[in-house]
Amino acid sequence: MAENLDELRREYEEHGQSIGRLLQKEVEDAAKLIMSSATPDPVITAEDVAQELALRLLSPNYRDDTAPLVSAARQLDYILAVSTDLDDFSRLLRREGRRTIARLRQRSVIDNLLDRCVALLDHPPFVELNTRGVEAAWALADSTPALREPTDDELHQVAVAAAAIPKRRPERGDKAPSVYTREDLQRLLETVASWLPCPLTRGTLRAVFARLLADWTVSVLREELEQPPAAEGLTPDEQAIAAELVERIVADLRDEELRVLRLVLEDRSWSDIAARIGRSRPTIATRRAAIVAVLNTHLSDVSRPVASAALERLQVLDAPS
Amino acid sequence: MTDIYQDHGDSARGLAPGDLCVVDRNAERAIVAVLAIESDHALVCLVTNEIEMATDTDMVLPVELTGARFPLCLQAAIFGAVALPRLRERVGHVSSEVRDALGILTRDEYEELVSADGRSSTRLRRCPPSLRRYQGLPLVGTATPRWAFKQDEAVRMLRFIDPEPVEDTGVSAAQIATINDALQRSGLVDLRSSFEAESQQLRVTGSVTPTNEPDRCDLTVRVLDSGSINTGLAGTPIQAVGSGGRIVSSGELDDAASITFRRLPRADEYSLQLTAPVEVETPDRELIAAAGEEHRELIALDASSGFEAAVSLQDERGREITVLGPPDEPRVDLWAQLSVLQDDNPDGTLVSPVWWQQETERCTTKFWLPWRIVLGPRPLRMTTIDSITTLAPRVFVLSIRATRAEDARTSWHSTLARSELPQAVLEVIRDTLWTV
Repeated sequence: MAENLDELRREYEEHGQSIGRLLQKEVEDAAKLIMSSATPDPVITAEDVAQELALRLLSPNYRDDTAPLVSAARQLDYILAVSTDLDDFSRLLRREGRRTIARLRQRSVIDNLLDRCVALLDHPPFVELNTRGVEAAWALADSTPALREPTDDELHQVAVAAAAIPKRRPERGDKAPSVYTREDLQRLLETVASWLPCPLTRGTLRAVFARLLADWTVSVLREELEQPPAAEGLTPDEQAIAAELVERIVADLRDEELRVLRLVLEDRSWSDIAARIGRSRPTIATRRAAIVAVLNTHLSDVSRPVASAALERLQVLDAPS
Repeated sequence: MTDIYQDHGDSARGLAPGDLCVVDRNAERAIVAVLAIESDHALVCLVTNEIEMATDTDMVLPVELTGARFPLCLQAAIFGAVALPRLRERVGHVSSEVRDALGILTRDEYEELVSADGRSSTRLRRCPPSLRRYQGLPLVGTATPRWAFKQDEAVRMLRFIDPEPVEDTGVSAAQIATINDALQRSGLVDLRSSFEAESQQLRVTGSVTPTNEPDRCDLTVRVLDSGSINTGLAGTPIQAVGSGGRIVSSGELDDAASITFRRLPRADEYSLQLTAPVEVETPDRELIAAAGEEHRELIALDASSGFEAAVSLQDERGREITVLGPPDEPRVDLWAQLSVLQDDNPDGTLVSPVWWQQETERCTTKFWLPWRIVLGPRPLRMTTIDSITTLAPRVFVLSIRATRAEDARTSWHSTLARSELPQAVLEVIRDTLWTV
């Protein structure tokens, strides 16, 4: 475990593009924490997230097939540049972890969309072109597209034209969100086909969807993480009480106390918390006393499930920077 | 990465427009792109690594175009002036072509695009064709995650602006709330120990001295303008309101105030709230009549600037002044930051980030100038607009002369920068920092 941010920086300078022991621990902790808050996923594990996150953090050649033009490579350099202490670093690392999960999920979301697109493209007004064994391609029946790949500029224009087609928010736990209704997906395909001077292929559509869904999966995941699973077993009234308790607790705690509380809820040791906050252990002990007093004030008279739900909500709150 | 100050001593001689630098303020860091540099501050736009949140006023740039080690999203519409000493390590640099493109992205200019089959068309925010591929997609409506992200980013930008803006009407309700918040978070409600808290605008320090009487604490509170803010709040009386106890004495801002608070016997809960009420004065009719004589002076702008100004509305509250930009300027919004120059701070102190802005065919800004702004106990009376000069392609300086009733040495200036922040973002800034 890193004692402070400088220790992580030193390790990074020594290891370069390979992951050091301290960073590996931070990455694994971040992945586990995020996955514990997210809806259980049979396909993506915490290990997958940690592995992909490590690549995004360190690799200069990291390619993200869901991101057009620019991939999020060497994010560790960014995080180190803007972090002020170890706690800040962990916060930014978790945010990067969320982006990583979103990218992993986006791949399957786009794959599902492409399968649905192919089913629609096999019917009018589209026709399949004779590409002589090369990748399957389609076009509007009355068009004569040039047999070539679209340029980045053309893809950008298509995405601008298709951006207004509405996307659906998925239900909680929906592992295969449809994103577009059948009618909207049909409209999207017709829009793309009429804007592109070249045929539709899976590769072209993947590039268009990557642009259109860039922020969608991130925001969907963020919403999911902000809904603690523990609240599911409570009545709506109890959930409302838990939410109100969280508001009161947050209002009564100082920013630093809130940061300490969140680290406590992450099951971190007191010495780890002291290092991350950049305070001495006696100071952290003082903070702890204040936190306990606030929690006692607000949680002592409520049922255990409601108190647990409130604490879980506090855990997934983004701590103040 | 290069630390500008390590290379160049205590000045920022090494800083250049186009630099991508770390900005550091109040234990928070971010990366910004330097758009223009003035004597003591730089106009910067905020940069993020969350490239998936890019809109059509942003450019997502690969490392080849920035020299940074990671891809970045430059947010042309989220910008502000930061003090030069806040700029730290340089992480990259963008070309003048990119800088020019950032300026273009903030204009309300669109191109009409036509589909390949010629049957439909759409609008696209203007961007140099060679860089269009790096432009984000337009926002569609306000119920999108990118819209919320932009609002957060605008607020984040404000945290790096130095010095902190203060309400043009002095201490507002929001600021009073901030004081209360700072005190409550400082642990003052416990009345058990010393405390210190720095809120957005004010610094609150204090100590509690136990006495021999079981339910009594002598409390010394010191409430100061935060950092370099010095807008004449000194001497403003603090009103203390307690519950569960009784206030014996109170004090003034910028002055150690000895407050004695006696807790009521067996009171389980007790708290103390401090407020510093400052109000805008309404002038008498004579003053309004006299101001009519000032109109000629009011519109006597520096002719070479190409700006024109006129009083467009006047009532008992103040004057609305319309400033027209040079005729050849494109259609833009203007974002005003008003500063006050004082004897002890000749560089000026930011007072109000936005007065009024309105977009018309010609670059136009409307300012609402109240007859008097009371900052602390010393009233300032706005009189004239002095001059407007162009400092850089994106920055204008508007000088407004103001006088105190008893001394005419105080003057004001503001920096106007072209902006095309989404309206909701502007409203966030307005809600956060000022009230009409």
